[in-house]
Amino acid sequence: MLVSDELRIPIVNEVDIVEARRGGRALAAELGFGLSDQALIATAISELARNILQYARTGELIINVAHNGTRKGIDVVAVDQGPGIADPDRAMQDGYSTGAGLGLGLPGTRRIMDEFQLETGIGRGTRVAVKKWVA
Amino acid sequence: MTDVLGAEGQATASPFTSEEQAALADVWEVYHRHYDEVTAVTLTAAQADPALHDLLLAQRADGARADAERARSLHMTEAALREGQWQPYLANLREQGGRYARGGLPIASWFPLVTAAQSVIVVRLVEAYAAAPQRLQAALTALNRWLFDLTMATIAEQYLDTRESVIKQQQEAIKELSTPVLPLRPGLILLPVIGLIDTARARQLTEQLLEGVREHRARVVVMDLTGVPAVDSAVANHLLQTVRAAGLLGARAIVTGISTANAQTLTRLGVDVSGLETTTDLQRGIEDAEWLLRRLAAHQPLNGATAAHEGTP
Amino acid sequence: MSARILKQGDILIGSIHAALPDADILRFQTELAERVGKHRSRAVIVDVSGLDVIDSFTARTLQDITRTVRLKGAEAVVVGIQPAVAFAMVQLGLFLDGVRTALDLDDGLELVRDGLLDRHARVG
Repeated sequence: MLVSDELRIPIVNEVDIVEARRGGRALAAELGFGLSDQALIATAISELARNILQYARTGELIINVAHNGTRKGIDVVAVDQGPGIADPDRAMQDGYSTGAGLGLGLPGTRRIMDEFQLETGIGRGTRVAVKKWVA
Repeated sequence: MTDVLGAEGQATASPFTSEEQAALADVWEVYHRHYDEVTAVTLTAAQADPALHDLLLAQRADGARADAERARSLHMTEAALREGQWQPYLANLREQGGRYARGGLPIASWFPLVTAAQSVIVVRLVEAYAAAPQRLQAALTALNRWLFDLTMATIAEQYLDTRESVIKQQQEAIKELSTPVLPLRPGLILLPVIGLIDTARARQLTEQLLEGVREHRARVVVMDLTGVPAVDSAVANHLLQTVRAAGLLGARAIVTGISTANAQTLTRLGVDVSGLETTTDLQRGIEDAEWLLRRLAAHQPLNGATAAHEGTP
Repeated sequence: MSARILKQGDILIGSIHAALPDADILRFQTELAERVGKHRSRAVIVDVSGLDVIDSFTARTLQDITRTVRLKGAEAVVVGIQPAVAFAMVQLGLFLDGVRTALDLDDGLELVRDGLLDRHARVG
């Protein structure tokens, strides 16, 4: 049974990261992504959810099926009302990190996914939208 | 002329105008009346074509089925020519075209069949409507449109679609074949990379290598790039990542066969190859790999040593 | 659905399963370190074959585990990273620098038993 409704996962604590990963991975599997891609997608989702917790405390992950003509894929949006990213350009450089973690994982996420979009600003929260298409 | 090849499965407007459709009804009358003759002539033409000849033999073996199919096609042709019901006719045509295309019948083989049928029908049309030149003209024109603009064009499109999907399948198969992981000895695998690598192939390469490491429990991987004419920075980074990923699975990688040209390209691109263990050629690479394996098997700590340090000949 | 730690002589084997929230992973790290001290273990094998995702947090934790148990006199090996997971990790730039890895538990035990681990080991 194909999940046609969107999956909305509030990110409030770390258990939600696990749920986001699971939900994303399940949808990816249903869409026909191979194991490698499933791992990529689940990892990207994990990073995005983690960023929300780490920098904004709370937010939401919205996972959908993406359509483009006959192509299908997965659409993930991570959104929060946190402080926003002060210097997005720097955040998109490899190796950049402000927190105690290994970095925001945004450059890596962009590498993994087919489409990547970052909207942010100081005091304006952050929205990361990514898509990956089934090969 | 309305678009005869409307989107698949959709009820589109008829491929013919009402005048043409009327003329096609005349065509049907003549065709139907002389059906046996048309069939006989078509059969003769078919037998002259080696590809079709074999097909006919196969059909003769399953006579009942061939007959049923022919009856079905005729019925659909009637509904199309007399009543303007083109969708079932076209659907049947596409299915047949696809089937023969996949079966390997050359598209050229269809032409003698169609022209053979046409030749008979034209003669009989002239006979039937000699006294009504306008009607004859309309019928001849409609016949041409039916046989070539519609029927042959539909078949040709099927061949194109089929050809594309076959090509795609073959490309996948080639991809699989051209990056095999070869176990050389316990713990040592070789990945010969051949041809131009795009991102998709590089991805597949990585996946196959990692699976190979897991399956063969490889401790050392020799990745040979002798057969790779050109690398760009994207591919180079992919290779680096492949090496790193293999490392996470406990395998060390030796990259061999980087041509002078490729080496210069990599240098120029500023690709960081400091973490990469490389050797000039495949043979040397395998020797180094075996040295590594021996050290590992003898449970001697490596302490950062490599074959180069040992000064192997 | 939690982490397990087994003792085999002077070797500790810890397995992390998927769906383990961060707090539990940190608890696992703490407990490993404590048991190394308690049993005077000389090596720790961390089995992550149950993980279908290793993200930046997990990667950092694995590095922390390696460093922590080293401070207590033991060596660490991470085993069982799945091919698809390894692929995703390197894409994301998680290279596990400083962490010794092996294919699976068997290989990890072999490394440990034969004293192959050296203090300055680097991955790959």
